[in-house]
Amino acid sequence: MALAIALALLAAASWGASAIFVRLGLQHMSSKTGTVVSLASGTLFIGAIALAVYGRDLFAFSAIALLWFTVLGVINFPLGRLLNFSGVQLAGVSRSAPILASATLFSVGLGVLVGGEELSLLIALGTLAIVGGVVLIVTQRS
Amino acid sequence: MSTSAAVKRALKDRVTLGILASLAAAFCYGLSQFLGRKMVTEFAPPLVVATFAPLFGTAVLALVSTRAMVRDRKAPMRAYLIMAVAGLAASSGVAFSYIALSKAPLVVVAPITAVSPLVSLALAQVFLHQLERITWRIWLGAVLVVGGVILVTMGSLRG
Repeated sequence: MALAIALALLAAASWGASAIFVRLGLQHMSSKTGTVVSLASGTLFIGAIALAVYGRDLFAFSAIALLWFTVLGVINFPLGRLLNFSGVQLAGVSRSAPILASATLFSVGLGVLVGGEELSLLIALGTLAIVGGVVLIVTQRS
Repeated sequence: MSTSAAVKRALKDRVTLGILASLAAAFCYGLSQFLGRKMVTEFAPPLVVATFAPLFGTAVLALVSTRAMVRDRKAPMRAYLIMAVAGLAASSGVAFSYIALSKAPLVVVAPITAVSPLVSLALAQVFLHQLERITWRIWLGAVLVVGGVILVTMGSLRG
């Protein structure tokens, strides 16, 4: 369990640091080019790990899975990451990083609205907290 | 001032545009988390999805960004290196979280990984103090968002 907690902390630290590098790197190039460069290096890294773990089985997926990879890839990267990097470049890390965390709200909201999942008291309280936090951040004008 | 004039003025403001871009990105990430849950339960393991989805995403983005990449060809090498490190850090986060999830349940891992915006704020306070001013209001907003994300995650896991 201690190892899992340490790894989860490392994940949070890696994501947290990534936003800082993005802010620094995008001072000298457009968000489009920056997104392509970061995606290329990240995909090579995670691809190498996946290849080491799965070997040739990495490529054993169905045609329908390929279609889903494309749909997910387009929503998450050319759209999500490019908008994320543009947000960091224009509004700064301090505003964009907490706003991006509200993605969980959209995910769970879609689960409730489209997936028929239940809206519990915890989800309602969490939603209020997220919306309140985002309102505080977006109304900061300095 | 009329409403349309106020909207036009807001859209010229860099910070407002950045906030709108971040909200749109959060929606895209939320939608991809929703779709991703379906993918990893029905079609392929998480690491395979984490390899091929960005691969296709990179290809599509590179195709539509050729003009921007040509314009940026004279950007300093340091900027390219920093962006490559940003990509490595983001992917390391994905790898670390997957390994953590293989050793402990989501109920343990998710609340810890949810604090990453606070890590960003702390690092920005130390390393970006010349570029960004982080007020108590932004800290409070970020703590509320992180707390809310933890509550929503716990609530959806219990359901």
